[in-house]
Amino acid sequence: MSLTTQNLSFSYGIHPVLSGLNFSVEPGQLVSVLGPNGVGKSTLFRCMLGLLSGYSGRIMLNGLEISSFSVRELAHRIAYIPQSHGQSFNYTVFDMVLMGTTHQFTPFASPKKRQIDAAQMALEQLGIESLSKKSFCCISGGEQQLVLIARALAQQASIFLMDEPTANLDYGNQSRVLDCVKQLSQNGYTILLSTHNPQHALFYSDTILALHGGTIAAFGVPDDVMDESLIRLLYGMEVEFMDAGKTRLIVPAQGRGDLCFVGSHR
Amino acid sequence: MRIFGLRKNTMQEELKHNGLYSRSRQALLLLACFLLITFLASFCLGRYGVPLDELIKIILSKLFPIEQSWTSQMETVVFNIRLPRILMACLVGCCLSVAGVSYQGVFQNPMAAPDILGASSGAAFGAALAILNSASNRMITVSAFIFSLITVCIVYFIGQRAPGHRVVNLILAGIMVSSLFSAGTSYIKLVADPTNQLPEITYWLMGSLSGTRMSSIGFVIIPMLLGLIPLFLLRWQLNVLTLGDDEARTMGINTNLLRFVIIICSTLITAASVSVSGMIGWVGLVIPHLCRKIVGGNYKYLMPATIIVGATFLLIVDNFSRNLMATEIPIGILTAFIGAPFFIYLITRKEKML
Repeated sequence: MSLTTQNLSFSYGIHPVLSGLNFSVEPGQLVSVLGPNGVGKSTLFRCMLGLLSGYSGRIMLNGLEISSFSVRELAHRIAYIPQSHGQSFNYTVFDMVLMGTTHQFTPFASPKKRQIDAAQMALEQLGIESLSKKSFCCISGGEQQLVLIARALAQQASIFLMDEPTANLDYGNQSRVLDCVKQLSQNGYTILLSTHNPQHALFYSDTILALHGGTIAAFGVPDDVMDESLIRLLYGMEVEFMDAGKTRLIVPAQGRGDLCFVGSHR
Repeated sequence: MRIFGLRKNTMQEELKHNGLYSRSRQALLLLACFLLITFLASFCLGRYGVPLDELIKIILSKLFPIEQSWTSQMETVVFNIRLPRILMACLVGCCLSVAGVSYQGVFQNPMAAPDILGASSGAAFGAALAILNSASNRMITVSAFIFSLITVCIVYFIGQRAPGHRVVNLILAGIMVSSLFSAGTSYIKLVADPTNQLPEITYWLMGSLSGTRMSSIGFVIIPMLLGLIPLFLLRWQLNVLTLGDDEARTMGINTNLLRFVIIICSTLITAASVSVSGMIGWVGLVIPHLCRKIVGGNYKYLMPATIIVGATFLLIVDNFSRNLMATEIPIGILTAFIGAPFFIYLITRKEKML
């Protein structure tokens, strides 16, 4: 399923956040959305998820405007994977995953065998079926993130929007979650994820969508669009790219000592 | 080949799934048995003793022709005095608990209780106003019911109008409107005749099920069922709603509509309960917590557990209130005696989650 925006703009009151975004994501692509804090990555996701309605322009799924879908129809097509989060109520991992299937039955019903099978399959697909009976709040952040991905799988949507999936995760879990995401995109899922780590974007994604000042600063294959000037534009810092065989490493530029005035006692 | 493999797989999964929920199901069955026993035992308790074997015969005689071996007083006591009261205790306990567990889901907060939107303080004001105007018992109930609904409507309206976070607005509006109506109740107490009206208001506010007749059950059963049935059917959706608006919407739930329906239904059953029983606190807060301990957080099992345990709990407490002393102790006092220590235990627990 392809996801296209045409001239997408959004403003909170008089503050414009997104202005005139045009891009198109093809099925099976893994797109990293980069940009400094407050640039509107979350706003973009919220528009695409149908959570913000006041946008202008068009967001289209296979040529159909998303506002023409009901909440349930949209849930059938796009799944949202939030950051792993604390929970005021205690659910088992299995129940958490099973909740992804909610759009498949009427509000007065409960999950049936078909949904339970889907949840079980999603857990097995990620290799975390052993967590089933554990309580969601008592597993690690990395495991929670995998459970939320399993929930999106059980939702059986073809597009996943992930809000900073690696935030709050340790080094190892970051890689594990992103490996899993990469695998899913190779299996045909379309994935958009926002990240604050250009290295991850460079290493894992098929396409980079860089936002700056409410517009698209770059959109394309990582090796083409990712360079020193893009990082300078997005984050206002100097970096060097170093060849490391399979990928390029992004290394902060040397000799920044004189720039480090923050926290200096002199 | 592939289809065969899939079938085999799903059979294994079914087995696994049965394992996942079997504990909750067994717990529900045990709780239901316990309610049945409590229900029957409650008929035997009281100033006028009814032996268990006679009781069973009296009940069965309504269905089958049985030779009468009991006194007609026994039958009167069982059907006209104890049956309405026992039914009412079960209904009120079940409604307050279900309202509590539903509000907790809507507000994503395990500390929410049925009076969070002001249903109780509205009812108290309505009852006090009716007593001040020397209304009949029936009118007191009607007035309490209507004012309870009015209060929640005001709260909901304010919550919708105010900008910002909707759930927080509702809770804040609930606190403010509640205190407004409490002040109104206090004023009525001030101007009420201290020889007869003031004691009646005070007694009503303590909460009691004494003097329940079949006619009062007939009055509240309709709003109670109108609220309980949708809440029971929507219980899976409540699970998803507790994850927060954004997540629930992206999983296909119309959150504003669902929250509206759940608040309406919960308010209806709270108002109906409070209007016949007066202020019975703590049930709506404590019972859901207890049930989460027993069957877990999944509303699919939590909701039926809450219904059963709520009914059982209030029935037991009401039995104490009838039999503990020569004069009745208002049930609202007893539930607070049990509820408050439990709540203290709850907030001092070491574990993060209940």
